Amino acid sequence: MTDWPKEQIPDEDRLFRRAHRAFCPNGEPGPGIIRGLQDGMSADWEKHSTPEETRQRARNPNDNGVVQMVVGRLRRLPGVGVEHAPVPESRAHTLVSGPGKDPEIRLKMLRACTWVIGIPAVAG
Amino acid sequence: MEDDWDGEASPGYAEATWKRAIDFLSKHARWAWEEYGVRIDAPRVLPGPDGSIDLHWKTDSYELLLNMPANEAGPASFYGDDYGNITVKGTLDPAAHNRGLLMWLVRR
Repeated sequence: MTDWPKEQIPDEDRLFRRAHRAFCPNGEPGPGIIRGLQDGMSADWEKHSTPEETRQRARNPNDNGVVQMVVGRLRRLPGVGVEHAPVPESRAHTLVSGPGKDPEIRLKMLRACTWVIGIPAVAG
Repeated sequence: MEDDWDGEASPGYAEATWKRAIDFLSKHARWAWEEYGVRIDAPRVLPGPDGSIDLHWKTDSYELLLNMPANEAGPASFYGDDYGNITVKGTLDPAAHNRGLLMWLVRR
């Protein structure tokens, strides 16, 4: 597998992040989709991933929608950083870091999220 | 839910955590009614990070997030605003009545 070079992500670019249906009752993104900030919350940089490619990387893609966030809006939040962190499996991989479980940061980051792929309806 | 229930290594959730969140909510809802005759808005009760439970209020006039940790000894943390300059933020003991947060919920 290739070791991808780390790149600088412009503020105007978008990140895609999967949103599992358990965190999104009634189809609305819930604050639970913002988690793991202390160690780095994973997302995909639009330069190297489409929203559908992001969704397909889930173990169960049909249980996930995809939200988008503008990088600059995240970086304006106190203590929040966005760094390209490619891994062999994904050149798009990016880490969003911030103050752990601060509810203010989680809420404001949630407000920065908009659906780009909605949660698929459950067959039944 | 068990560990790694979402395929993203998310930990599972304990019923005790959910119960602490519900007990906190019902205690303050009852207090608001008995003391002020006010029915507080119902939040969404949602899975949070690291086995915690989120209580999330979102209305046209305010938004409030309270996180109940999985650690029984830990404080809950919260942040709310009116989408403008009025904010409330802090930590609290989930086992105790919190008048400050109650005032926020009652006045909204």
